[in-house]
Amino acid sequence: MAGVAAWILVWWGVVSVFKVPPEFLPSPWQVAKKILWLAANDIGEGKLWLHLGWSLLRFLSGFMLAMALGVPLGLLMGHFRPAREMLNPLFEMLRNVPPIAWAPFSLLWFGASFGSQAFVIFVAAFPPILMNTQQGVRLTDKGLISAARMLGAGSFTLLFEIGLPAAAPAVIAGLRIGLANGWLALVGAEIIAGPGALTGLGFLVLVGQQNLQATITIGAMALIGIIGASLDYALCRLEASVARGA
Amino acid sequence: MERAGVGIIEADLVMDAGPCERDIRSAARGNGIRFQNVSMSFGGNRGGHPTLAVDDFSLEVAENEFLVIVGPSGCGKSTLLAMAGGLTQPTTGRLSLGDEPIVKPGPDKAIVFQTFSLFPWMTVIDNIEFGMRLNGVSPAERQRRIDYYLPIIGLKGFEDHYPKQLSGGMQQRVAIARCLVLRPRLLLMDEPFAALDAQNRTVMQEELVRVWSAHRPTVIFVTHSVEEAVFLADRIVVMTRRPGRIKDVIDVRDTTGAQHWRAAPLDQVMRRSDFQDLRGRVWDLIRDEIVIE
Repeated sequence: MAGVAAWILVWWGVVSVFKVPPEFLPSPWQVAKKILWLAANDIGEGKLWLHLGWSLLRFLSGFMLAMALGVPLGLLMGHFRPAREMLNPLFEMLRNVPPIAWAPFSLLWFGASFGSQAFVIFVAAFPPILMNTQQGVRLTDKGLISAARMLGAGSFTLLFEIGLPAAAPAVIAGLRIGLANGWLALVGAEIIAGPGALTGLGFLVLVGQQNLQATITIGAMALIGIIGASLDYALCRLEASVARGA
Repeated sequence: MERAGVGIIEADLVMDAGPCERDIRSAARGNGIRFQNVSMSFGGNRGGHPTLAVDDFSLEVAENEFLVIVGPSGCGKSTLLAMAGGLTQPTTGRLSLGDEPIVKPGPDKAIVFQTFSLFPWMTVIDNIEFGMRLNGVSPAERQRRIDYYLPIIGLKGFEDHYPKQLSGGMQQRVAIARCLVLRPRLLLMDEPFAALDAQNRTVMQEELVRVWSAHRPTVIFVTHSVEEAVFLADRIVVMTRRPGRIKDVIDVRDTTGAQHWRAAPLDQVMRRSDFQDLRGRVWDLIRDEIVIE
């Protein structure tokens, strides 16, 4: 926290010492004021909360979907070799396509207001969740599997009561990467995959640019950074609580 | 650790008379194990030469017997144990427990692994309870068996600890308890104390005798330690170096008579000259098999 404050001070110092024009780089104070202004005044379809809400909704929908599909599919692929051999080439191919490249199809399939952005975020978050879960299950200590079989575990028990908890740290690491990927894809998704949608933090970034209001752009960027860091912190805490048992 | 002695055995008799006793053993027709011309080779499936690990091993272990297998590294002792536990199948030959062939692992053939293999995300209690839960032991009976074994293995007060919070010796006692609560017909121990320091090892050997005496499942115990073998075994099987064959079978009871010395503390037993003689005899058999490579 102190480190962050120090760098904000440096930013402030540079802006005031060199008398940087605000449209080129505004001071932190100007940005903070603008954020407060955004909270009280409509821009696009509404106030700051509406933009925040839409961004979070799009992000969480995409991310939750990635988690809801990625974890079970990863478990399956980690546990059953045929599933792995069949699906892995597909995902290896898809994960090397940048998520934003899906924007045209995404628009076509899901529309510009919500589904398109959520889909791009899903595409960004899904591969690390899937791959990590699969690796985690595959790399389950063979000794634990022998022990479980000896104790009477069948295939179902092996998968859900041994494979899943053994993979939990890898799964959570995958969720963290997926979360970061998804969140980073948000602005791109809102600008490119949602043209005409007048909501979201990505929209604010764009509006700031189009109206030469650097304070809006940087304000939105700052909020994106803060929210992304908070989300990661929440998962970090979850990771720590799981690691206590492992 | 305090020796609970007779009290435990009495408690155990009462427990066995309980109406909800669901003993895996009761289904058995004899708990002896028989190896018939068992051989095991590894590899060779990619064009290379297969390695013969165990060669034509035939042996019968009687019900309630404590059999110890010793031999040099790579003599296939652990392989024999994995086959007895149903974790691997022999390349040729047959194994049976009672009159059923051994085809898969299961709770009637409990295994104590060298590396403990406790589930790290489960507490001590959950680790011990896991196998009973999988095998349909009622919650009340599970609780009864846990209450019975926890003090015996000296882990009362550690119920909610996770394995990594315990010492190696404590972890191995949990691993033994999770096997014993299943009332296995066969208890297979693969160098269970190899990862422990010398003091812990001695304590664990004595504890094992005490806990085992209550139910006397048939035991096959694999070890590197001649002293451990001579102290614990009814019979000792000495293996040759690879490919593992039986070099000799020594009946310790010929020396101890009906009153086996394992009932006494190890340091006392070690002072006996007949113990040292037998230890020397077994050691001579093994020494011939050790090659310095």
